[in-house]
This record gives sequence, C-alpha cells and structure tokens, in this order.
Amino acid sequence: MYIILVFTNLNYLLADNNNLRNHILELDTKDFNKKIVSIEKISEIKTDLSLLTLKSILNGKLFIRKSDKKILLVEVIDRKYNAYDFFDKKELGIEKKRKLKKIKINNKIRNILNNKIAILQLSSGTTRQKTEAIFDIIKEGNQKTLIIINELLLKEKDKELLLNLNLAKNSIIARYGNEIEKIEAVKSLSGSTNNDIVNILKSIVNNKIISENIKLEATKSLEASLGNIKFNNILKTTFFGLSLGSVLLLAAIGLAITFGVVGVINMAHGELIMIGAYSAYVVQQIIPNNISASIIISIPVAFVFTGFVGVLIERLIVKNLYGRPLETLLATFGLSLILQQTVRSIFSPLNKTVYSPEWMSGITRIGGLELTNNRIVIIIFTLIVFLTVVYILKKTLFGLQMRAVTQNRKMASAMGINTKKIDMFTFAFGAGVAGVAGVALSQITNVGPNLGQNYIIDSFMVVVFGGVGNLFGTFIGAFGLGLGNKLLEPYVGAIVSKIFILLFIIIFIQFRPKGLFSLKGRMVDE
Amino acid sequence: MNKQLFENKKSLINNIYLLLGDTTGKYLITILIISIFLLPILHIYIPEESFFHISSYTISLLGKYLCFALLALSLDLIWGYTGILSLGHGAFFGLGGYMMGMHLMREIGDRGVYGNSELPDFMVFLNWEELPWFWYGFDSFLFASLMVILVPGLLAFIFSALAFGSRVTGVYFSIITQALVFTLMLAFFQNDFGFGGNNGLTDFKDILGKDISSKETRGALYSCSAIMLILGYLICRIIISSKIGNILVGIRDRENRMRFLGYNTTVFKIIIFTISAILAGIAGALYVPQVGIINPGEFSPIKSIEIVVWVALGGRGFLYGAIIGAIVVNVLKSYLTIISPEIWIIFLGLIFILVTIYLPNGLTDLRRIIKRNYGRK
Amino acid sequence: MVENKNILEIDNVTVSFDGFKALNSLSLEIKKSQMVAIIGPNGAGKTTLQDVITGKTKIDNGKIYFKNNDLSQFSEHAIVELGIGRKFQRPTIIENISVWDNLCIALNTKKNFLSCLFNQLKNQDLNKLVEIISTINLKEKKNLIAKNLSHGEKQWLEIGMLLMQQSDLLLIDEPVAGMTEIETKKTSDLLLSIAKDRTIIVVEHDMNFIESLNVEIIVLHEGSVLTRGNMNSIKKNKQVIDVYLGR
Repeated sequence: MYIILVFTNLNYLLADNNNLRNHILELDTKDFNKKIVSIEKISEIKTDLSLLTLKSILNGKLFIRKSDKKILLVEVIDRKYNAYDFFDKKELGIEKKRKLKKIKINNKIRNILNNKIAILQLSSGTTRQKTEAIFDIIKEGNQKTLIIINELLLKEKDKELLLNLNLAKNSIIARYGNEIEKIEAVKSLSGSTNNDIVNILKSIVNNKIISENIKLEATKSLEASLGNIKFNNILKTTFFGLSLGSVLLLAAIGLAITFGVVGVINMAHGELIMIGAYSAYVVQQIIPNNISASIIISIPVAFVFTGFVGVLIERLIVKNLYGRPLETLLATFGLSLILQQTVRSIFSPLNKTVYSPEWMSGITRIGGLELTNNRIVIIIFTLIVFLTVVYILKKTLFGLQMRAVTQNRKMASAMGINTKKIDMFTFAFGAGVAGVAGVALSQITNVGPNLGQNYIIDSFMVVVFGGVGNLFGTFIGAFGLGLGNKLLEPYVGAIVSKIFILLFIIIFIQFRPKGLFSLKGRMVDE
Repeated sequence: MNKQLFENKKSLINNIYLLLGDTTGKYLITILIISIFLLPILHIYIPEESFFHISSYTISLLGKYLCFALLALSLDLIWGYTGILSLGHGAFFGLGGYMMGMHLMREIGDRGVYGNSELPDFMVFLNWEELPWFWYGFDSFLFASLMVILVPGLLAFIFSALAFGSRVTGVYFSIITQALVFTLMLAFFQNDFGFGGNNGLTDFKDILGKDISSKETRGALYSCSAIMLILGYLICRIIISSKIGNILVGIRDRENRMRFLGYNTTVFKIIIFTISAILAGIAGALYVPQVGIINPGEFSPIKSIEIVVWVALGGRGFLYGAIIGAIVVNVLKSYLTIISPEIWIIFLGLIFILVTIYLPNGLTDLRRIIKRNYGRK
Repeated sequence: MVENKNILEIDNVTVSFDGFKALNSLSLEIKKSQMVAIIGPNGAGKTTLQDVITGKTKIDNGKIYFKNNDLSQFSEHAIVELGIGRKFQRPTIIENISVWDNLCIALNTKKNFLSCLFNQLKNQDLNKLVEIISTINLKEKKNLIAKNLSHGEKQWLEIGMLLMQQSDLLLIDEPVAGMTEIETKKTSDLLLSIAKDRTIIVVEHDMNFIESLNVEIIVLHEGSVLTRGNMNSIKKNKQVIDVYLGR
C-alpha cells in the first residue's frame, strides 16, 4: 500500500518535471507575452522545482544549451560559466557562453516573477519564508494577489502570519479599494514600520487626486509609523551598542584580570584572543561534520590551550619583569609580534572562516526589529562569561587568594598564600578567558593573524576607562563605550565616531586618572 | 682647602668638550661631523664607477637613519632620563613630516597629474572646490618650517599639560599616548580629513626650488639631517648636563621627593615632553623629502613602539645609545627584510624580549658582559 | 594683625577615606623654633597629618595656617616654597645621582626650568653646601652615588637636603627606624644641632630616642590630639597608657 503511494507520488513528480521542462523550453522565445503565459503555467505547477525555476529566471541563472535543449543552472564565477543539470544538479563543468542561451526577461516579467515567487512561497515553506513572501507582496501586490491573500487568510492559523497577511491585504486595499475601504485600510496600516507600507502611505499623502478624508487618515497613520520607526531605530542602535559593548567586554575581561589583578600589562593579550579564535578553527577542522559541537567543544579547548600559553608567557617572560611595568609592556609587545608571525607561518596570512552553527545564523524578529542571532548569542555568552569570572573571583578560594594578593601582596604572603603561584594562575586564567573570547569573536569576524591587534587598544581603553582592578567598572566601561560609539555612528560615521570615543577617553583619563570606578585611599598610589 | 675641593669654574672650551659626553659620544659626534662633508662629496663628485662613490639610494638611506636617530634621541630624553615612556612618539614625527609634506605638495604647483595650480592632485581627485583653510600658508617654506615646530610642540604641550597636570603616570600615560597615535592614524586615513587619506602626500618635485631627486639636493638633505642630529644631541646634552639632568633623574626615581623639594615637577615634565616632541617633529620633517612620501602608516602604533626598541637596544639614558640603537636596528631591518620580512618580525620581537629581560641597559650591557667574560679567560 | 607666635595652626581638620576618618576634628598649634615629637598608635593619623600639612592630601573640613597663610590655597611645591620640608619614613633620596648632586638639587634657589638650565653655583651656595655636608658627616662620600650609602647615611642625606632648602618647618617621619644604636645617637645629635633656628616636628615610635631629644610630646589617637606635654607627664597619663596598652 505504502509502496504504491510512493510510486504514484513519484509518477506525479515525473509528470510535473516533464511539464516543467516543456514550459521552460517555451520560454525560449522573443515574444515577452508568450513568456508571461509560460511563467503563469510554471507557477501553477507548485513544486519546489517550479519555485527554483522562477527564482533562477529572476537571478539570470537559467540557461538552455543550444545543442541538445538541455536545461542548465549556471553559476558565473570569474566570467566562467559553471553549468549544472537543472533537474539532478549534476555538475557539468565549464560551458562556453556562445553555446548557451539565457532566458531573458524585462521589468514587467520581473515584477510578475516576484509576485509569483511570493505566492508560491506563501503556500509552502517555513514561517520565515512565508513572512518574507508576504513582505514581497506588500511591495508588488495588486487585486489579483488580493484574492490569494483572502484565500490564505481563511486557511492560515499562525497568528504572526495572519497579522502580516492582514497588513498585506490592507496595503493592497489602500491602493486599489473604493473610498470607504481605503479609509479603513489606511487606518489599519497606522504604526506599521514596514518600509514599503511607509512608502505607500507617503504616496497617498502626496497624491493630488485622492480625497482629503483619506489623506487625513493617511497622514495620521504615517506619523504613527514614522514615530514607531524612530523608536525602533533607537532600539536598534541600543542593540548594536550592546552588541559592540559585549564584544569589547569579552576582549577586555581577560585583560582586566591580568592588568587589574596581577598588575601586568600584557600587550600580547590580543594575540591570546587570536589564538583562541584559531583554536576554534582547528577544532572545526577536526570535526567538520558537526558545527554546533565543534563550537561548543572549542570553548574549553581554547580556554585550556590559551591558558597554557599564558603559563608559558608568565614563566618565561613576565616572571622576570614583575615590578617593572614598562619593561613588561615592551617584552609582551615583542611576544605579540612573534605570536602573530608564528600563526602566519603555520596557517598562512589569509583569513580563515569558522562556520557558525545554525542556531547562530539567521534573524530574530521582535516587533518590527530584526536582530541577528549571532549577535544575540554573543551578548548572552558574554554575560555568562562575565558572571562566571565574577563568581570565580568572589566565591572561590582561588578568587579569594587572588583578591588577597591584589590588595596586599605582603600580607597575603604572610598568611601563607604562595603569591608567585597565584600570580601564575591568575595570569593563566586571564589568558584562558581571552581564548574563550577568541572563540566568540571567530563567530562574528574573520579569523586572521591580525585579529588580536584590532582589539588590544580598545581593550585597554575599556579597562582604563572603567578603572583598573574593578571588573564592574570594566563591565560599565565596555557597554558605555559600545553604546556611545553606536549612538554617534549614525551622525558621523563609523571611523569618526571611533575617533571621538578615543578622544573622549584620552580627555576623560585626564580628569579621572584612575578611571570611572577606582580604589580610593592612602595606600593606592604607593 | 674646601674651596679647591669644590671648585667648579670651567673654561668655555672645557665646557663644550664636556658637553659631548664620554668617549663614545665624542667619537660619534666626530664621525657625524666628518660625514656632513664627506658623504655628499663622495655622492656628488666621485664618478659612479668608482669604489668610493655613494649612490643616491645609499645616501638617502643614511639620511633616513639619521632622522630615525634624532627621533630616538628625542624619545631617550623623555624615557631614558625622565622615565616617561611614550608609545606615541610617531605622532610628533608624523605630524612634523606632514607639515613638510604639505609644503612640498604646494611646491608641485601645476605640475601634478591634473595640472591644477590651485589644488593638490588628491583634492582635485576628490572634487574639492578650494583649498581648505589649514593648507593656507604652506606655500611658504618658512611658514611650513615654523609649523614643523609649532604643531607637534603644541600638541605635545596640550596633551602633556592635561596628562601630567592630572598626574597620569607610568603605564597609563604610555597607553594614552598609544591611543593618541592610533587616533591620529584613524583620522589621517580619512579622505575628508584633508591630508590625502590612504595615499598620504607624495610625488614631490622640488624643495626650495631645487629638484628633490638631484644629487646636490640629496647630499644637502643628508648634511641637514646630520647637522640637526648633532644640534639635537647638543641640546639634549646641555639639558642633561645642567642641574636639570639631576632633576629629571629625580623625577624618574622619586617624583614625590622632588615635589617636596619645591620643584613643580609637572612643569618640568611638560617642558621636556614638548622639547622631545619638537625634536621628533623636526626628524619627521627631514625624513619626508628623503623618502619622498608621508602617509598615515607613520602613525601606526607599531611604528611608535619600534622607536622604543631602538632606544632600549642602544641603552637608554645615554643619548648616544639612542643614536646607535636607531642606526643598528634600522640597518638590520634593511638587510633582514630583504632576506625575508618574516625573519625580521620574529627578530624584532626577540630584540624586545631579550633586551628587556637580559640587557636592561641595551648594548652597553652587552659590552660589559663581553668584557667580563673575556677578562676571565 | 598681631605678631603670631605660632608658626603652624591646625584648626578642626577632618579627612576621611571612604568613610574612615583618618583625621577627626584635629586642632593643633606649633610655636616658632620649637621641636615637638608626635607619637600615637598605628592608625592614629600621624602620616595623614603630615600629608595634609604638605598638601599631598586635601582636607575635607577645617583650616591649616602656616605663617598665617591658608595652606588650602597652595599646591605642594608652593607649600615647600613657603618653608615646609618633609622627610619621609623610608629614605627618599635620589638614588642614581651622587650625594653632592642630591644636595645641589635641594639648594634653595629658584626652581623654575630656565634658572635650573643656566644655573651656576655661587660662592655662598658653595659655602652652604660644604657646611651642610659636614653637618651630616658625608663630606668624604660626596661623589658617591647615593644608592651606595648605608641606611643611616641615606637618612642623614635626606635631612641634609631639607636643611639645604632652609625650611622653617621640618616634618621628620621616623628618622631612626632601622638604625643602629650609634646611628641613632648621631641622628639625635644632628636633630638637636639643627633645631636651634627652625621648627621641627618629629614623628617617632622609639621612646628612648624621643626621651633623648627631651622635647614636648603630642599624642595622637583616632585622628585627634589626645594630650600634649613633656615626657614625664605623658608617661603618667592614664589615657595614654590605655591607648597604648589597649582597653
């Protein structure tokens, strides 16, 4: 029974494919009206392949081989035509351009294609694909699509989709309905932050033939929409600011530990981050099939490995220079050059890609806001790292000893704490956290030998701005600077906003040399 | 008897002789003085086939080394003696260079690619209508020379007055100097900033009406560099061998004590920092016509930190140490980068580490270690 | 204004660090050309008192007058110019220059950049240098780099530097800590010999040393003055005994 079902299904599919093939071949004509007819027919087939056909025509990737009328998908890379069989996706190698015929389209057909694709996507696919399709309809919709939308409105159960479908419906009515319908539709569009709807409302407000009543409602709705967009923009800026802040915080936490607790200026801190990022790359090379697992596994791997590198740095270099901060700075800078060059020699100077797991890619919509998942994950991850570090410092024996050494080295030593050991572990801990930061950064930026360099000055600024030896200050500093940077950006551009932030910190330090939150008292400057 | 014991009146000649420092310093200055005349003569008048001929490439390279030596000297004054580590001395060097570069751009006149006598090429390229106000006056060499001193000096003065005034010291100061130079780099990379963006200023034709690539000009530029280096050395020596030398060491070792002795240490630090910045600016101004280009790369933090390694290797707090360090490191750089840039970077990194850990006084330590081991055998 | 016999007047001064009152409504007068010793248990405010007098720490409340000048109006180095010299607990001399140079930079001349640049020693300065280097017994070691001096010699050199400044008021913090008995004896002789024409405040723990100075004693406790008087009266004071022996 089951087998028969599969067979009939397969038969249907084969029949569909044959139809599709014929219709595609019909597209090989110079008469655009005939093309439109064929496209209508293709879109009636309603399979994944027909959708692909429409999309490929739209993107100019659908070709017909002149010799045997074979239908091909062609990727043009470096002016070379890489051909694939349209139906079974087999690679057919490079074809010569003159042996192929491209399905050409004009603007009218392009509009039709957009519409048809949208409708096809509306009737199948995931919620997100459907939502995208609805937004396409809002852009190009007409009375015909209205009928389809009305049908869908009856069938659809998903609340969000229903909401968007209604929006699409009203956006069409607002343009093509009668007077009374229009007023209602325009009213219902009020406050929508969709760009196309805002444009529709604008065109109604500016249209001279439309009656004043509609215009009045449209103006009201438009104002509400623009207000919402403004609000959304503020939210968006805040989100970007938080996102940048979390990156800064990630990069700075390790430094805050080594600088704030051990008092060591580690100029190779950026390179520890870079090593962490490369750890993620290596782990992914070892388990290439499970990206999610590789990223999660690389977190402890990076922590341990960079921590170990940290121990080496402490033993071989920093240990010899305690109490000579300027020399430590220079030696670790020299080390950063060596580390960069070593990585460059091992992995080549080219950037490597560390793939993101699925749950980190894509977009989350909250209201009219579109937030990229990887940034959300990084923000959450940063908070977890930060809280873990705070927990270790405040609640564990290691943290207690670490704080004891920071506050009064001699006394801690007298209490039987092996301060040298604590120094080493603290340094290694800070290095490990830098490595973890590197794993996170590998998800949002290219992994290359210079990765760390880009963060070292920023990290120092965050730590100094927040107040050395104060993790809470580092937290506030990172998010403060991140938000400040993103708030300025819309007005002056990315680089200039960065320049302003740097200047701000340089001037700020003059007035509060010890940063935002500093220890105060007699002993501090001894 | 006491009077004789503490007699300190010296003759003028004796004073100058003492100014030159110890034996190494005297040798160095003597060599420099001879080279002022000798090298340009060998470059200009000796035929190219001769063994003694110095090519234009070599003389410009040597001139460049001397500019770096002056830059290192300026850093030694502030770091070696006063204990203030600037990781941003490239800022002053670069600014001095840009001031000179702006003049050289103006001197191109209408001989640029676009043949525009009013605007430098890059402004024409960016569709600018008129010269920005901060380019006014750079037609004049005198004005530009003034700016070479004023701009780095003023920036250093304001910056250090703010920083030292609020007692920003040690590592904090180093970090904000680095932030300063980094900020300048970002700014100068901007096309809108008005200094040629990425490409910087280049394609110079003349200096003071003379062809910038002629033998005579190159020779003269070398001599100027050597003279400025000697002058810079003498200025530093005058400062160091006066009472101020001890005061600066006092500030470096025990600033509190100096305050309680009644010295306004802030003012001393500001003045020394400013003098140092001006010397760095002059070095930059001499550097640009010899290499024929100035771009924002000069402001990259790594370049500034490289200056530190010159001084560290030469031995800080000797003045001539800085000069030797700058020349040694840059000669090595020239040779090693030809062999392989990778080796040079590893080597540079190693110098940083080894010098700071094992040779805190740079090459002078090395000399002592060799002497000691040699002596035992 | 009437001629004021007090060179230093501290009026109701309070300083707190993060809520802890290091000085608590402290009032104190010191007469001209008088040597006094300040004692007190740890945390009594001895170091903070010196910090506020020299302008290192700003006061929260109250006033300090030195020769009728309100010190809150002066910066650290200006206070020095008014005539207050301070000797730190640990010897703070400039270790990397010679004994002679240490004294030279302490010389009471103009201390701005230009005059230091073109400074030539005058005969009278030279005489003074010779006189003071003899007073502190370091004449033979004048060309020695200061870091090679013994602990006691460093302390004397620092006192010598204060003498070069010709301060009217010297604050001397634990001068004999870590000194041998002979060095201690020499130090007390030194202080007594220089006390003739200047005011000296000595902060010290060593009671034998203070007894050998035979001067008025001021006892600090919890940021204010507990009592003052000569050695005998202090020794008998019940409060002082309580403070030192614990309640």
